[in-house]
Amino acid sequence: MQIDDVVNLRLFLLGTFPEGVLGGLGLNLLIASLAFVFSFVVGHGLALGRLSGVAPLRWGCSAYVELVRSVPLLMVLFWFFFSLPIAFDIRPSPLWSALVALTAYASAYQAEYIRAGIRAVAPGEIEAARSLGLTAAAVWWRVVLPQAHRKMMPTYVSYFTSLFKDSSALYLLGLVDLMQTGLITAERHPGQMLQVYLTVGALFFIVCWSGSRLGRYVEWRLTPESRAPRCGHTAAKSPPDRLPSPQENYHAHA
Amino acid sequence: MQYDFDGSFLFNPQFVGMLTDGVALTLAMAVCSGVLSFFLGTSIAAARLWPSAWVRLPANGLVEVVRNIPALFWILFFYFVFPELLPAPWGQALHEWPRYSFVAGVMGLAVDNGAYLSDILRNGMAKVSQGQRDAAASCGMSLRQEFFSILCPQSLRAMMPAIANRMIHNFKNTSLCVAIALPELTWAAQQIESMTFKGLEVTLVATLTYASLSLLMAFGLSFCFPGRRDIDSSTHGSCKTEAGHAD
Repeated sequence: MQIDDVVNLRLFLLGTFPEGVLGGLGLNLLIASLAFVFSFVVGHGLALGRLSGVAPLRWGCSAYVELVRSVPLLMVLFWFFFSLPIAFDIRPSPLWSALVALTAYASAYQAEYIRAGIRAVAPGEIEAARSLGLTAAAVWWRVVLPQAHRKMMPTYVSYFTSLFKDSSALYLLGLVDLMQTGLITAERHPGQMLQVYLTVGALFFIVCWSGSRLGRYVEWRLTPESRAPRCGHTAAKSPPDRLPSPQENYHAHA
Repeated sequence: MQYDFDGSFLFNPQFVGMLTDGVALTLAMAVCSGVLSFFLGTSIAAARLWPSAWVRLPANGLVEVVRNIPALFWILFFYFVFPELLPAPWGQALHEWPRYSFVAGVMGLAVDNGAYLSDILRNGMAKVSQGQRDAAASCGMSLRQEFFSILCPQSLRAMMPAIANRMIHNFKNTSLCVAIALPELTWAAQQIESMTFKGLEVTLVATLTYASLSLLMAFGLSFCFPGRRDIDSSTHGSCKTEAGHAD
């Protein structure tokens, strides 16, 4: 079959992995997952830094987060692939550069999600924990962070899909990921371009769609209101029988 | 660190020209794709609220497909594949059209951004209470009147911060057009870097340009719509709308 010849699915999924290097979808998933985990850790540092009482630390972390969030991903990638290696005269492999760059980029976003979660924890919780005599570390570990993370869990999941999609830009810096595999294949077989693009698109879609479904499931699990029994479809659409929050009120009358 | 930092070469008229042309093209792309995606997003949002499932379900499916595939893919798709899908003479004409890379970039960005905007707008319209829609119907308004005079103004106003965030994101996404060799700011920076081997200075200039432009946009929007970008609205409002679906 001609199609099987052109669209070698194994190449798209793993590159030349067992014999050669990992590529294709596997590379995207690997880099995105590792960068997600690392940036989750670094993001905690940045979020706590932004909330800290030490002014220079707060300014530094805020400046970093705002700067990274206001430039395109490609600029961050350029820094870590070209500029910083030249400046410090080091030669990291593209894989390491990609990992560090994506971590640096994602940390700024993760920091904002974590900070939003922390700020959403009611101050009364922290006061109660302190008045019970918990140490500062215990207040963070046992009271603030669990609640913050629970609240932001759906956001983290959907940020992972977003990061996975962003990882496709790494092909511009020479990594043979899914996008690059597709482009090379399309170049070699111009007649089958549509099939190649459909395969690449379908693979991206499967991963991201599963991710967003997972995000919705997590959200559904974690918000008891949304699990209340519904009467038909209209129940979900009609306004909930609770008082609108001040913010909703503000928008309604603004 | 023995790197010799010297930005003076950037004052070379050739490089100044490349960078300013790049900024102009970046802004042109952001504006064109922003406007196009706004119309696209509004019409898809309308289709997603259509009474008939024959209109609603395909629109939902389209948004789902677009949102789960990277913007870069759509830019490349419109550049390489779209002309092939058209009848041969048209495709040939597009291939030969020197401006086609710009058009393809704008279409790719607009499709991606439009899907997200339709989501934001639909969420905004779902928040407009049923009472408003019932009132419109009982006043004898047609569906079109209800959409343009009741749903759009209220949801646009409520969703302005999310829409603004999305537009800034779209502005940043224009850098992806470097993939189709469109001479915007990122391309210019990369080109100068490969001509002079002085990556640090050029990347710094490009980074600061992007950062100042997007911060300028953010400040301008928060000035036009005050009180919307404070931390509380970003934890509650946009987590549901924007961060909830991770732009």
